[in-house]
Amino acid sequence: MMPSIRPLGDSAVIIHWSNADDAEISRSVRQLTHVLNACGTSDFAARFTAVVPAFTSITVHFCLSRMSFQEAARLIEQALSRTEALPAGAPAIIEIPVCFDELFAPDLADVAGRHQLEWDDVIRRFCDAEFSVRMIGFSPGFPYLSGLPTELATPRRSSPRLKVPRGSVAIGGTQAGIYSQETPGGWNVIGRTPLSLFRAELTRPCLLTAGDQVRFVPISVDEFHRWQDEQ
Amino acid sequence: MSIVRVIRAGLLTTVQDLGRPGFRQFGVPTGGAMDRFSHELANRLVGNLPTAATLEMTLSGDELEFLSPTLIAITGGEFSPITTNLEQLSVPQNKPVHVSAGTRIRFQTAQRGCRCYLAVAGGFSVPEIMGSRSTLLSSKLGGLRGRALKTGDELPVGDFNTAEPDVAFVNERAAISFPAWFVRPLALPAGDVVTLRVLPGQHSSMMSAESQLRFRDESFLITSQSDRMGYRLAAAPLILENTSDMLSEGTAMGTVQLPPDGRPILLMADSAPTGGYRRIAHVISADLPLAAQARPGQFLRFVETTMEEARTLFQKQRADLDHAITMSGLMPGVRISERMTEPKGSAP
Repeated sequence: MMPSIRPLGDSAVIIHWSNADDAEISRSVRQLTHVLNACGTSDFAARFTAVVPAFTSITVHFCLSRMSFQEAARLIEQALSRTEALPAGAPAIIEIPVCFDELFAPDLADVAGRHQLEWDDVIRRFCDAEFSVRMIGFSPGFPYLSGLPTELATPRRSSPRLKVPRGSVAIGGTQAGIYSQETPGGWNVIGRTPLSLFRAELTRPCLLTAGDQVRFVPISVDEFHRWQDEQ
Repeated sequence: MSIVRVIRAGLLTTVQDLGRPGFRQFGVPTGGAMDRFSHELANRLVGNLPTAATLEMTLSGDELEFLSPTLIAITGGEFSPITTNLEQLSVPQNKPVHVSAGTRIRFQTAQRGCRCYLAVAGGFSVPEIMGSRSTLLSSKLGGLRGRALKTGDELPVGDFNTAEPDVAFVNERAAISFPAWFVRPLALPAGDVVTLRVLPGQHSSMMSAESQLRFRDESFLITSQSDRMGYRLAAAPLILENTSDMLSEGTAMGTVQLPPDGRPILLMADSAPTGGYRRIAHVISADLPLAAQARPGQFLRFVETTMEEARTLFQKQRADLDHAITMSGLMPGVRISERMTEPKGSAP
């Protein structure tokens, strides 16, 4: 399926597949992102200032003094015809420890109540699921995850919290996510991970990348603190 | 190493450069100077590369002390800077100024515009994080310990300006000395309504016909809920006819988003790289500096333009910046002692 290529203002281009968040489109997004970012194999990386993959689109920013929208669009069409394979191997499965203690899970009761499940059932179903990282956005290192069991889907809170603590694992509609830093947020918080999702001092500052597979592993409050101390 | 000391901190002063565009894919805002034109102009006037870090002051400036002789330039909003230690001399903007050791300069309340930029030869040399010295307040990183300046802070200046200044206008014995010429600054917002040129957003036709007309014809108040992330605008709500949920997609500085409450938000330097609201317009790059100089209480009007004009206007702005190099005689990156003593051009 060929995506559409449209301007986003005067110095960015948005490449858009469809409105459906599915695995095949996610793969197309990753494929083109790979081509656009692969410095060694193309000169695309040098021509653009930023390549931002999302669920079903990629936004490419360019320097207006160096090229026009038409030139940028032509380069992207060339990139679309490239078929460099994604790096071989199955996507990594990354285990994320999460403490579901009520200390860290202000909305677990709401989620359980809404679906008429026991707390433990929510946790078990959540941890049995395999999620895939669709994109990083919202705040530095925040992963949007698909793969939430449909019976756990919960609409966003009607009034967002002003501060959601860093590490909070949350459900927003049919998606899950992890707050990588303290920010305002309206998703339902059901646990917290001691892992740092974003470390500015690293060359690749994010723990997760689009395409990664993620599984959550329950830990106790004691284990949470031990993890935190080790970091 | 030379130091600039904060005698009294202003309202919101941060270290800024051109930001970290390459980290948008990790959810990191580009950040950097809100008014990139004035930031770059200030750097060019003191012989810095455009990537050197400047101070961005907001609405009310700081009082600073220069512990060593320093070549500085002040651009952007009009903050009526004056010296405060001996006699009160006003410090001119939009030209290089040589400041002798121990001079204090107080930046006052903005008379016009919203943000002023202070460049020092050598740049402010706070540590680089993710390739930039910009302060990202929302993530508490970059700049000086990830925050706005406080009274008592000391800012390191790059080694660049340790060379003995050797320009005709420099008078070592005066607190400040400067040439007669100046460069053309950014035209600051005049009056209550600031007109910005826009390109249509992908979702502008999702607004009702009446709202599309109103977006074009009305003025939008910049509310006090406006900062480096974005300006929340107020007017009678604009109506979206398609209210279906949207998956998050890329945005840019200058994107005008329309949340379900019908009140547009103009995304600025520290906005998140992606967003899930409809995009109804994009302010062109050449008008972003003007947007950065508009302040809460003023109104924005949006006038549609074309892609071609957007590029022409941007290139014209770049030419103005190149002119500033000719005027200062300071090629970016050239040591002060090697530069020409007389400007080559004439003041515009």
